Amino acid sequence: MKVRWIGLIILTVALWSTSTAFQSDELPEDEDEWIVPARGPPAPAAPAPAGAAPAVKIPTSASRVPSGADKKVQFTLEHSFGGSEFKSAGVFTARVRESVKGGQTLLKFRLSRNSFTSEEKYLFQTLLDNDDFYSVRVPANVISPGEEFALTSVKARCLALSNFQERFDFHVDQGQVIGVTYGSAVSCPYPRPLQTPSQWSFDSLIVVKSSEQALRSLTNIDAFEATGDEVAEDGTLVKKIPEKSFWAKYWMYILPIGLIVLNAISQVANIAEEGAPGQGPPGAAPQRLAPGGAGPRRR
Amino acid sequence: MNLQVLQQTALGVLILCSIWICCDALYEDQVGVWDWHQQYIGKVKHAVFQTQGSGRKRVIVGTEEDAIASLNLRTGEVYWRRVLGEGDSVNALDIINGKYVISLSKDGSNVRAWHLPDGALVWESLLLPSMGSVASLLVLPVDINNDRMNDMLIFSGSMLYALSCHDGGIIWKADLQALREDLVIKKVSLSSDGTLFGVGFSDVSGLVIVEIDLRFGHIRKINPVGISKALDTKELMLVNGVAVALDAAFTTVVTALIKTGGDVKIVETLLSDLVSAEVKSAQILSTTLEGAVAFQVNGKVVVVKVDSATGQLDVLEVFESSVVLSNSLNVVESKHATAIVEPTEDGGSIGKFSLRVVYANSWSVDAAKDSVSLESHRGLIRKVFLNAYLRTDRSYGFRALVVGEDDSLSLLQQGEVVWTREDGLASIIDTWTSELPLERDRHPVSEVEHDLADWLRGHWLKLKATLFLASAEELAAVQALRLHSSDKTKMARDHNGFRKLLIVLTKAGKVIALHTGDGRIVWSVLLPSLRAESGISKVPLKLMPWQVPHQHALDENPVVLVVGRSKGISDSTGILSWVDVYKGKELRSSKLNFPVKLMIPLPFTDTSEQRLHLFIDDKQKAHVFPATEESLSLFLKHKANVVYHIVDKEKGTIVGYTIKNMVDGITEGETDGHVFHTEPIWSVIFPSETEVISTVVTRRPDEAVHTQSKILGSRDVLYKYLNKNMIFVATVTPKAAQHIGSATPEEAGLVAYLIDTVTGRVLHRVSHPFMQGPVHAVFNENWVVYHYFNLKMYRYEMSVIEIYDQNRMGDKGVLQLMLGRHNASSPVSSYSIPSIEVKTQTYFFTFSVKAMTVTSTARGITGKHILVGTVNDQVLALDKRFFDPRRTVSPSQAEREEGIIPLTDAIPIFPQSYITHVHQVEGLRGILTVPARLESTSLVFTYGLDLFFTRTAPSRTYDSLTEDFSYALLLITIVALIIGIVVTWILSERKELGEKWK
Repeated sequence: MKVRWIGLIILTVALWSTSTAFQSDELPEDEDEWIVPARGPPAPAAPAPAGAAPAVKIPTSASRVPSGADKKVQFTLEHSFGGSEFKSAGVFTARVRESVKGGQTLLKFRLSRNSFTSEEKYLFQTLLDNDDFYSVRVPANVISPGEEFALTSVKARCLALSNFQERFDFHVDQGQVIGVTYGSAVSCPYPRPLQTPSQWSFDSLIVVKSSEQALRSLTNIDAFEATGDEVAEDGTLVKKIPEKSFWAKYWMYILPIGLIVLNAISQVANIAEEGAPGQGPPGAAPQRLAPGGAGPRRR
Repeated sequence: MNLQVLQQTALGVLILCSIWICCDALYEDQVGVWDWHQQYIGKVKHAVFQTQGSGRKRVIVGTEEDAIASLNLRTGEVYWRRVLGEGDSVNALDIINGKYVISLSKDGSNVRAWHLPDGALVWESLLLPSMGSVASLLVLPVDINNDRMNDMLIFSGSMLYALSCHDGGIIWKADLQALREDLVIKKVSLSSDGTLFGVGFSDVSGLVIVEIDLRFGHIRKINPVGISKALDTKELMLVNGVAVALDAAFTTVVTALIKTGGDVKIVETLLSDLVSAEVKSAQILSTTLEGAVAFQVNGKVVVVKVDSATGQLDVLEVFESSVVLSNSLNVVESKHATAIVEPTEDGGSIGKFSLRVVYANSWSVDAAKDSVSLESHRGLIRKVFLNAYLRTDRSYGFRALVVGEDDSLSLLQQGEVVWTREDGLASIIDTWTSELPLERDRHPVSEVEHDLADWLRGHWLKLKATLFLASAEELAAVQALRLHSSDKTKMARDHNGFRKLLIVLTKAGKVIALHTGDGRIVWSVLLPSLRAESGISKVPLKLMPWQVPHQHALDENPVVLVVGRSKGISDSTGILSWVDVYKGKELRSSKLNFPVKLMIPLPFTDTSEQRLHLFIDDKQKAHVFPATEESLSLFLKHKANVVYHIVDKEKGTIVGYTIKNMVDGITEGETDGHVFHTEPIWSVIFPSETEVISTVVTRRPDEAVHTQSKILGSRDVLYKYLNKNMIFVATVTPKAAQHIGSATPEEAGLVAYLIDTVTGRVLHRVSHPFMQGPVHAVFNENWVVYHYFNLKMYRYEMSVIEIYDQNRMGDKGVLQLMLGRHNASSPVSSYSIPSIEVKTQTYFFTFSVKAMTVTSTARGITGKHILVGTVNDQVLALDKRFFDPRRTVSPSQAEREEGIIPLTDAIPIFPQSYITHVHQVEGLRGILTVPARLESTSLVFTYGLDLFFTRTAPSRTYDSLTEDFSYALLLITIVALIIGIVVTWILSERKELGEKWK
């Protein structure tokens, strides 16, 4: 009964999560990578900037919505067809988390992608014919966008080959986009064949990577400590000699002394036996004595 | 217990084996057999002669490479040399009491006394002069503090110091800033009555004369002299108590007569009246002449006599701009001599000069006149230092030390060049190596072959030495034979590829070819297109191979391209010059109409084997060279795949560009060459608050990779990620970009990136907190090794990154490798998503690093050594296996089999692994490695102030016999064996016959 209830709860949660288009935050590839496929239809509420101004249209201070510790931030994705002017192509949303050390982390990227207009479709077709670049860019500083943009391009044919399955690889640090790589989500062979896409809707995959810390050499020292070795001043490895047990140290003295003692005891015993002849079979006693002196006597 | 012992023994043997490979040291008698070391000092800017007394005649020089050296005046050899280090440039030099050399350096901050005979540092004094002012040194003819040694004055800006020459102690110091804020002392003189005068400027408004008490440094009087005109405060001369300055408009010469008692009389003379012409430009030359001042007016040098009584000026002589005057030299009591060096008519291009010596009081009469001819590749003479000597007939003779346009130093005496030093080689800016001509006598230098008797004698001596039968003299003869073997100095290619031409480009715009055998100069050429022209100097930038003939190697010579630029205020356009590598002649030159921002050699050559180059100008336009139709069609074929990137260290960005359509020559005004538009396609932006680009390293374009896979001990395979378009970028926090100590560990940090330059994809990013630059890195095959400073542990560290391709993990079968997706013939696209595995490790390292590179061999089969230029100016070879990120504390049996060394915390340094052995390459700046044709060997050329060349075999010379292998002994052994066989055969035959007869 209990199991059923749990099953039901899981099902409800799963259904709820799909209904709000929320995708799991799990780490499918790597711990440092957040893969967020944004497969939902383009949000109609996405503010499409009028005109062709290259600057970001969305004032971020207004778009930042405080939600507990995290803040939401929005920034525009702009695209260009073979060197044409940059126009808005969609809106990214991300969460900004203030870290304890100060500094910010960008998380949970979402993209609401605008579909191509007929003019853009025509431009894209031209790119396909010329094997030219389709470029996209995002502001380098997504929290307070400035003049600088992280730019990336892909051969349009690669995108067409994958039927607009696009992939964004973000490298972020402290709320800044260092670089973004844009490409098709599937491999793009060379030479690139000319293939007209069968559909014009985007299927986006976003991968966000933040900094990875280097392996510290101190860990090596820890490792040495675990093996019982020491690291000298100059960093060289000094083999630590394990402390010997008492027996290991003095066996060469203990053994002869023990033998002498044993011998002496047996001598004493012999004398005692010789001194009392009536107590056992004469002459047999020394042979019957076990080396330990305390062994059971054979009868 | 037994197993453990066994394991330990195995481990010991393993470590020993690994160390054994590293200890590829030289034996004593091998020094100098295939290596050479040359010492240089750099372009001389100060010189003092020491020719008095009975000691050895010498000249002390201070150079632009921050070196002080004592040279033998008879031969030009270096007696001793001290390199002061970066930023510690020499301001002045003098000799005191014929015992100490006094040097003033680092804008007057450091005063040092060196022992004249051996260059030992006697004392050092640190001063706090006014920064940004020219510092001067004046040795006084008096002893202030009664230590029986004359003392000296150091002045710079508003500070004056009196220093004891005995121990460098400060006797007194005077800070004039307290009296007048804007005071700058330019010249100091001691009047005959023992009063010290300082003359300088107070802003531009006027001259200031300061009277100072010599014994205690008290300022007796400060006398500002108001002058109606604003003055040019760059230079001021003091001639016999008369101060001479120019006004800011360069129209008037202002002379101030300083009299004891403080009176100053100002005389103004119009410059146009002096030269009887309109004055466009003028300046005072810093040459100190007795009773005269030299001006440069309208490009001509005018020597003007100053009347110390009236302050009147009188023109003595007018010279062309190519004249060089020496400072006046006091020969005997009232006789002051000056050397004047002028190129004879038309002589500048062929190296003919006239050297005149005149006395100050009889300027029109020559005391000595010689005609000297220097080699034409020395160019004009830039500086002259005069020295007098007593001739056999008791009259005075003169010798002059001259600095050529190519930074060389020559001594002239009696119209002859006594010696010449090629000191331009101390400032190499780029290098390249060329193959020598094929064995056919068409090269300019031909070598005399050994005759047969010599050859036989050599082998006989070697044989005796091998059998320990040789006497001491014979051993010396064998060693001399090895050191001066004609085999290594021949001017033709050898089978092993050890003999090559090292082509170097120096700061002075000279291209020099050195022979790798003995380091001699084969030819040198001062590029005419890079010589200063009508006042605009030119800077050489880069040396690039232009044409390396393979198909026509017998008929065509290799050509090297030298790229330079003008150094004008508004003009910084590029200059190209093509030089024939065998003849040493400039073939042609071309002046570009755009500044060259980036030079990219393309991986294509046209039918005449000229390499295609792409020059990027300041407007991001790409120019294709050579500008022929053939190269254009070749370029257009590959245009779609050409992507380049520009690193902007100031902005902290790396931007990738693609080539777009061609610029229309008619509408856009581009007439010469094939010019293309470019367009940015990717950018990587480093956050300016946290990251500053420190180092960008690429792989060598000519690098040979033997295998794409790495077989592990477990018979598993790792595939190397061998993307040629990868760069390594290291960034540091802005505070950590400065010197060590400028940032606390918490403020410092280093981030290492691997970036694909076709797509701008950040392949790997790893941060090292608490680390600080400077970062030195080397990128080879699929690995990067980089060096930096750990602020937390206060030690240097070296990290390694190895990159493996995960995409290919499926291709493990032989068939798959041959036919699968990733065989070598199938193209790889950067637009596909790479799947890489990165292995890293960090080790401590003892030294700071000046330069870093890796050995390179012909096929890439041989193991690699990382060559590190250490802080001691030596080159250390470190086995790459010590940097293996797969090292573990206790490697498994399989890993041990593979040769993995147990993990240690630091990279071990073995004294034997210094490939420079006893030598130091002072001021080490770069290391060049070139593969020899023999796979095991790599040639190493190290340059700085000194040059050092050697060859190294990282995995020992497994593919050849050693040079001292005695072929004669082998031959004799074989012959003896054959004779033995024949004799025994005959004997056995006889015996057998005898047996049969019995």
